[in-house]
Amino acid sequence: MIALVTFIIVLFTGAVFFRMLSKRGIIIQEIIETLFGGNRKSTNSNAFARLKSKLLSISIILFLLMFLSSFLPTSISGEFLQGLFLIIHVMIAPIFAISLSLLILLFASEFKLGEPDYIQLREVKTNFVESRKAIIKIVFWLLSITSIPLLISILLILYPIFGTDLQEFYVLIHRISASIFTILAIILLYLIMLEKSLTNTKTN
Amino acid sequence: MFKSPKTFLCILILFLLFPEISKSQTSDSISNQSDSLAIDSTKTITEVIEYKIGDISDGNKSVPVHLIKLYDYNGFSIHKNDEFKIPFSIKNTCGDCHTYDLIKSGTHFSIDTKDSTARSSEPYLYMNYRSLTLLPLSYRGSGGTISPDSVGMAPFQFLKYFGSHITGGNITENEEKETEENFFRWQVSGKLEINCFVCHDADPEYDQAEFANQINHENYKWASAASTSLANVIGYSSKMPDNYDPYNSYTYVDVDRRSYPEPQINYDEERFDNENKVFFDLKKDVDNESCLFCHTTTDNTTTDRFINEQKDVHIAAGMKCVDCHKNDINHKIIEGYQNEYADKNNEHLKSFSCEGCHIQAEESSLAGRYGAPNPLHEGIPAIHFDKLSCAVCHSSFIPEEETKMVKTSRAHKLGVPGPNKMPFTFPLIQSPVYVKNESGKIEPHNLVWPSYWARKLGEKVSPLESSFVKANIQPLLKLDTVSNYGEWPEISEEILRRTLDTLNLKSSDDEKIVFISGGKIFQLNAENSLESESSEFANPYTWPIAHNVRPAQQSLGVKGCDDCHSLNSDFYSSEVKVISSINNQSVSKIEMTEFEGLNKYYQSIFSFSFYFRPFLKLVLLFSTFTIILVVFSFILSGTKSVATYFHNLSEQQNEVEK
Repeated sequence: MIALVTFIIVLFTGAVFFRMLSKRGIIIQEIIETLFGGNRKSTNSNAFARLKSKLLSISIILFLLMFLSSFLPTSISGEFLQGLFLIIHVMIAPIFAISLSLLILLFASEFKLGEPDYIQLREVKTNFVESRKAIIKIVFWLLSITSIPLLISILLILYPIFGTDLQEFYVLIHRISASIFTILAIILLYLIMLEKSLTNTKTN
Repeated sequence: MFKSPKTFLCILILFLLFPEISKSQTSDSISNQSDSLAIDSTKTITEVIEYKIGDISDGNKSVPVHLIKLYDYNGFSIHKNDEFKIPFSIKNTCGDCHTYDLIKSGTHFSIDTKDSTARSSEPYLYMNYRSLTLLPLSYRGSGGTISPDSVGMAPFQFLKYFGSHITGGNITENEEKETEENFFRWQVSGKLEINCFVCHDADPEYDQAEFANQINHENYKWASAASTSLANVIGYSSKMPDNYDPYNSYTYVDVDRRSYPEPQINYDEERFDNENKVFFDLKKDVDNESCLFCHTTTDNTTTDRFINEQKDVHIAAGMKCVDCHKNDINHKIIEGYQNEYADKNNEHLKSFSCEGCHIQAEESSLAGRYGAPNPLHEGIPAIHFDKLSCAVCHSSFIPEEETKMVKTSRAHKLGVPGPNKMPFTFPLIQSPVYVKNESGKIEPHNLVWPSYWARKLGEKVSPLESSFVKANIQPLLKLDTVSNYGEWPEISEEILRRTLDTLNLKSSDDEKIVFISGGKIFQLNAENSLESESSEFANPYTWPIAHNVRPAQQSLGVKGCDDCHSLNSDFYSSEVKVISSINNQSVSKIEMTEFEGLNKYYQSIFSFSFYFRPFLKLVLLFSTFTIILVVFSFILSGTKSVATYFHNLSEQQNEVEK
């Protein structure tokens, strides 16, 4: 039941932001292009930038698979993750964990919060558009922080240290972290797309 | 008598519609010295039952002294100086203080009552080596068992065959179940009333083997008395003629009385006091040994049983079977399985399952009694408790490459005189076989492959009557039971084909005689050649087991996930032998996953994934460490920025002030 509610919340959040983006004239193709490289190849001649771009694309694909293999079956069956979905989830998990940690490592500097960000944040209520860059950074760091309980909860389950009751608690932590992580990822995606859209408008 | 035919008709209709009117009057008169109490015996319906003095405890924990008078079957008191000694009746003797009819509804005394639950139980395994018959019989009607009535086995024969491990008080004294052909035999043997002494006699001289011996001699009326230390019984009712009259020796004048004397009972006269009362050393809490006489399961291949055999961990801790398998005066024994409370609509039963006693859940108020530890189940994900019963990891034998062969008291007549002690004595019962139960959880079962001759009419298959099999099939098979004593004989496909061919000649056109064995149904096709196919009628019969509970250190999973989740794990890949009466069929084996209702390939892939677990742990450790490092280093850096911002802010304000 909790899984189903979470799944609905996540889908609702996704739908709301997608609707907001489409209102601003951003279509799904643009989102895909932004996330999966698209024309970035031509613009980014830097090998390191290309690596970052590829890593982001891989991470997003893996994240989608992780999301579908966990939220979908648990929401439908209402039971613990099991069967083929569990195998898929567990097989992808280590690759996703590596890519996520590398992604955070590589993008951390880019999203470093500084003094100008604080100034922007003070004006968030009056001028949201201007303070978007700071918000993106905050969401990025929230996402990074959420990934810690997401990984630790499952790591602790893998060791026979805790009893079943605590294991269930860790599964709950994992589920909550995963839900927050997903929602934050959607918000981040929205903000990035918004940023891109505004930048393009200014350039034009 | 009646003024008009209309009045008569009305009264007749009333009596037909409400027969209870007359019945209730009779039952009311049964008890005379009783207290009337309203007791909720099943916790679902409130009944007003007439209780006798011995039915309800006053709360005193000591055991009352049973210095009692003996009564015979007609209700007359038995005296030590009686010239003609007759066996005492338990119904009248114990029934003087305890409500016999109430006790009669108990679990052990209602083997002829249809089971309201879908749960299977150990059947009575009828075997006839010479006709290759092995039938799981039961009056309770659980799926896969066959009713003794359907194979023409009357209660009299059923009692003779299985009576050594029957407590009496059901088909053994129910006159409605009598058949005409056994009417006179029942008169000779008498009825087998509930034998209270089986469980409640604390006298070390109580002899259940002697009880079995008397059953074998058809001395049903004498059996209970003979099993106590008070009486000694000799003689053979089985050898007495149908018109046997104990008071008239002319009725059995033709019997060789030196070899087969008439049934006689002798009481230990010194045990009678001046009032002709006798002391019985009875106990309320039944000893484990009494239960184990009928409920033993033992590994039949263990030659060094002296070393290897273990006690149930609860017994080793000093508990008694009846500490969990309790009962009220109605003798309905708590079975202790997880959903018993739902099946019997009694919330209190929640506390009498493994979980109820060991897991501190809100609904089980009695958890922890007898010092039951609350298990942590370290490293065991909760899904295991959704899929498996506790017994899978904690009870029965640890799974091996092949399932074990076990002997049970009832199937192998353990504890009675003259059992075959050879290890592979039939019936071959395999254990543990992991089977999905009625609630979808896997649990350990015992398994037996039925083998019998049947009549097939369309898709319907019904077993042949045992008398027909004996008269028509046994002579055709000509099986020798001496040369392979105790072992199950096998026949060739050709002999089976010829036997079926001969039998089909005697049957009608639209029905066929078939043979069921080893999970297959064998029949002749239009070309008169033998063909076999799987059939639900040939499925093995399984029944759940929950003992012996092993110590925690011997549980499955205690050595890690690999105990089950490895490629060659015996939990999934253990093989169940197909025991067939056809000599080239017994070689086949079935993998455990089939019984577990699981996909073999999926389990292999899932088990294979456990080889990557160390890698997964390592990767997660590395990733988590990296993220923590990055996040915290930037938090520190951010803190510095915030500090710098405030510093700059204060300097700006200072400049403004200047």
